[in-house]
Amino acid sequence: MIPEDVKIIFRLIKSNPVSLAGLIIVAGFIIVGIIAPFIVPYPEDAWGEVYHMERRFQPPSWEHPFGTDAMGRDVFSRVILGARFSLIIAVGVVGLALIIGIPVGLVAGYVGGKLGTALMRITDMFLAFPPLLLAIALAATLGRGLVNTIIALAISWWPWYARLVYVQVNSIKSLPYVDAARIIGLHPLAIMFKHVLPNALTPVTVQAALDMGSAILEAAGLSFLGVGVKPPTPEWGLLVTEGWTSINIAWWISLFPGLAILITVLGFNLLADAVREAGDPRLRRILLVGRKI
Amino acid sequence: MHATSILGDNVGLLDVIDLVKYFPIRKGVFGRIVGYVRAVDHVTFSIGENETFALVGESGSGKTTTAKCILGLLKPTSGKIVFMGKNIVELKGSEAKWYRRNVQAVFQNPFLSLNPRMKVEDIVAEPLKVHNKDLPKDEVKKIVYDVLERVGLTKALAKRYPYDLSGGQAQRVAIARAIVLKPKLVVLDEPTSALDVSVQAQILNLLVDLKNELKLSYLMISHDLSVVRYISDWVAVMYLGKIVELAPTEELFEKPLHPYTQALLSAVPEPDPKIMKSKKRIVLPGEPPSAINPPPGCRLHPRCPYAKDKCRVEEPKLIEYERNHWVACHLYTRR
Amino acid sequence: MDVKPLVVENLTIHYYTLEGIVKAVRNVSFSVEKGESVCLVGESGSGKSTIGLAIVGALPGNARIVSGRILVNGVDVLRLSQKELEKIRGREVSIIFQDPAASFNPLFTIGQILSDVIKYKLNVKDKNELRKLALSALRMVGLPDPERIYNSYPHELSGGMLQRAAIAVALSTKPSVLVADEPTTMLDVTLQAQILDLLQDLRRKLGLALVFITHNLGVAAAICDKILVIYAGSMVEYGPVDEVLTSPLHPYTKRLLECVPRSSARVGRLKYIPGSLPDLRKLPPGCVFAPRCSEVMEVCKSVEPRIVEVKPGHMVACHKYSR
Repeated sequence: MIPEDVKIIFRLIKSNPVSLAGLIIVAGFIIVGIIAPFIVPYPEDAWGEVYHMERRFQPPSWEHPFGTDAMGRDVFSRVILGARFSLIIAVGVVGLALIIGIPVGLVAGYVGGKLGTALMRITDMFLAFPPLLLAIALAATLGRGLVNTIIALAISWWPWYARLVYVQVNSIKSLPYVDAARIIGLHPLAIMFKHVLPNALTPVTVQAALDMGSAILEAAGLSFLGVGVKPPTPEWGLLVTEGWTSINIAWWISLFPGLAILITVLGFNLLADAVREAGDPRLRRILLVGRKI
Repeated sequence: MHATSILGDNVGLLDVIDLVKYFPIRKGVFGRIVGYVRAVDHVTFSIGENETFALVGESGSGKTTTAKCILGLLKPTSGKIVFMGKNIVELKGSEAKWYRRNVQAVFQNPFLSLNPRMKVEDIVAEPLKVHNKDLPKDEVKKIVYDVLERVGLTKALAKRYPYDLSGGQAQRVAIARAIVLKPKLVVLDEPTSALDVSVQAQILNLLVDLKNELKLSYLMISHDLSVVRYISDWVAVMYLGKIVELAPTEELFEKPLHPYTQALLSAVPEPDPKIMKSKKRIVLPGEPPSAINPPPGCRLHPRCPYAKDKCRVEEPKLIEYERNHWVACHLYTRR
Repeated sequence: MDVKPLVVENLTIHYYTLEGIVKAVRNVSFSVEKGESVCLVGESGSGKSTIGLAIVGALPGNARIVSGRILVNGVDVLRLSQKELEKIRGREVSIIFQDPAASFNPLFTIGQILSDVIKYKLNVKDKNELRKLALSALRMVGLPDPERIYNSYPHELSGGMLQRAAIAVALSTKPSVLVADEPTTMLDVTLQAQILDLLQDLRRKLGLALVFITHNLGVAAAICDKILVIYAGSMVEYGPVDEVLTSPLHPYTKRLLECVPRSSARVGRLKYIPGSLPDLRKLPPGCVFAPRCSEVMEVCKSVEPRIVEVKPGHMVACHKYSR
């Protein structure tokens, strides 16, 4: 990203308390996700391979702030560790989708011709499926598990990045600075990687970072439907499902992981709005009038 | 064609001979070609050493397409572009590189012609890195800083990104990039039309100085006749893909022959009320027709106040009506 | 005495941005008579477009009119409610912009857009009457074959025709004031000449008060009666076009005229104005042009010059003339 963009994004975030809340939530989520295994009060409960007969279905208390579940495990510990799994899924899905999507979009946009058309037709075929449906079908075929969930979601996800990169590359490749690079005599591959790709990536990386919220939500959806992560992994969607059968007697088992999903996704979306504003040149000009752009 | 006659014996630094560029118009699923945009249609001219040659015309005249063919950004449909005796359309490998080294460009919008993620010093160093791979780093840096200083930029600006520059500064960076390899020819594509007048004056002065110092030739693409009069030695006026008049600058501005040139000159607003009042305005009705189906005969005839029957059927040839003054119009016949 | 169609008094406009308060326009005053045209001339960042937008009540949300009055036919539009303003905007004052394509919704034909404007602004309901008015507006701006244009979509028209259509829309409601913001900047010279002729013609015929905004002094010479030179949001010189362009008083106007290459004669080396526009958030004390002025005096650096009438109708804001 261009330093200027980063500066503007931060200035926008600082100026708007709602965006700032989004930033704090996302930052908190990432930090918790990284240090989770070291801070959970009941590590065994968090990883889930235990059964505490004596403290099943305990409501929230000082000892167990989010209560305990059907197997007597500390829900707080599981929700905290769940952040790590959600983070892995989010980064994994978006990362994998980018690894497939960027080269496809770049080659299709920059090289063009028959190869480009063929690549974009394949992309369009994937885009024709409703993404969640495609992800469910793939996840069901691949079987449950963290890695399979990531693969299933990434496959339903990459065409969006391919298209975004394609559109960007297509408009950038005819800009005067690309012409200038050709006039200098720079090798086409060098032009592609030095002048076209870096400029095409700004909106893509922004989009990708913000899509992480949706990835968390969709992974939770898959888990909830029983085609996602395998128990006893403390993934948030799975935690909601686990509490579902006993929602009448122990609301806290589903509520807290549900809230965790809600707040995290909300945080990403609030941040997304701020960043999108920074990227909109018209809006940017209104906000920064007086500066020549 | 009249190619040989216009060039005569004195072959220039760059000779454009009978250049044609048609863009196919495709339709339908199979991309069937249903017609052509005749962007450049048999254009011939020559640029001498240390000379500024201006291509003037309105949008759709083909001036930018001509420049793109010369810069190797477009492949001509037919015709030759001869640079120092070599037809550049066919150049490959090291000869192509030799041409690239000698022909550079400056574009209209400086912010769009500089990669927003590169620092000023890296932008100016890029041509050196392509053409002098073995040059040591500190040598590159020295050359870059010298060139930046030459175009009037301070060292402090070298570490900045393009968005931190004013329009004039950014255009100076683009000029620095164009001259860092010491080329023979620089194509200036509307280099000042995006700038404020007070900045425009500085950039024009800089271009004039650099031309004299580095013995450069310029191909100036412009719609601004005032700028053209200030900077160029020769002017060719284009209309719908053809050169309609070609002459030394003073000659063309003082004695325009072609009705289109006359209209163009009379339409330029001047910040002088006396001139504006005394000016005889020739207003061409309508707008230029499309280059897909240009009118038969003289392409100006539907808008020309002097059109005769002959103009509707026969295309006028570019002739040397007076010494060094070429015009393509049936009003003028060879004497 | 007749009420002037447009009077702008001590107009000051600030933009509130993340980087601070931009003082875009400061204390600008001018007036336009019936059938008269006044040019606002300045370089980018001078605030000329901001004044135009303020007149039609279309400033962006982060702009504040800090002080001043804008009288349209004697009514201060800045004191009107949104509803009352709606009646005046597009009805008594209209605007045309640099890029006509951007001011047309691409989904509607020229005829639909025109009819809509006439319907809402003039309260015409009868369909035949609407069509008649729309076609006559298109005819008025010299568009050939108005019937065909009426049924055309914006993308089917060339730049010159579209700008004519934009003028037709702006004038369809028979406004008394027309603001033209660089309407010919994107056009080729021969088309520019056509549009300038058209505007001249219309303002005489309809008695329009024309506010013409441009950066091009040549265009100003071609169309204006009076010229208002603006630098960094302040008016530096105001007077009849012949006087301002042939015997300018303010050093900025003088230098600006020396910068312009001429097509009528080959000039020697071009002069230029050293330095750059001041930061509009941190304006220098005294005269805004002082840091770049070749005739600067001690007083210029601390005291802001007031605009004074040096010759009848010719005003300048410069300490050289204030005594």
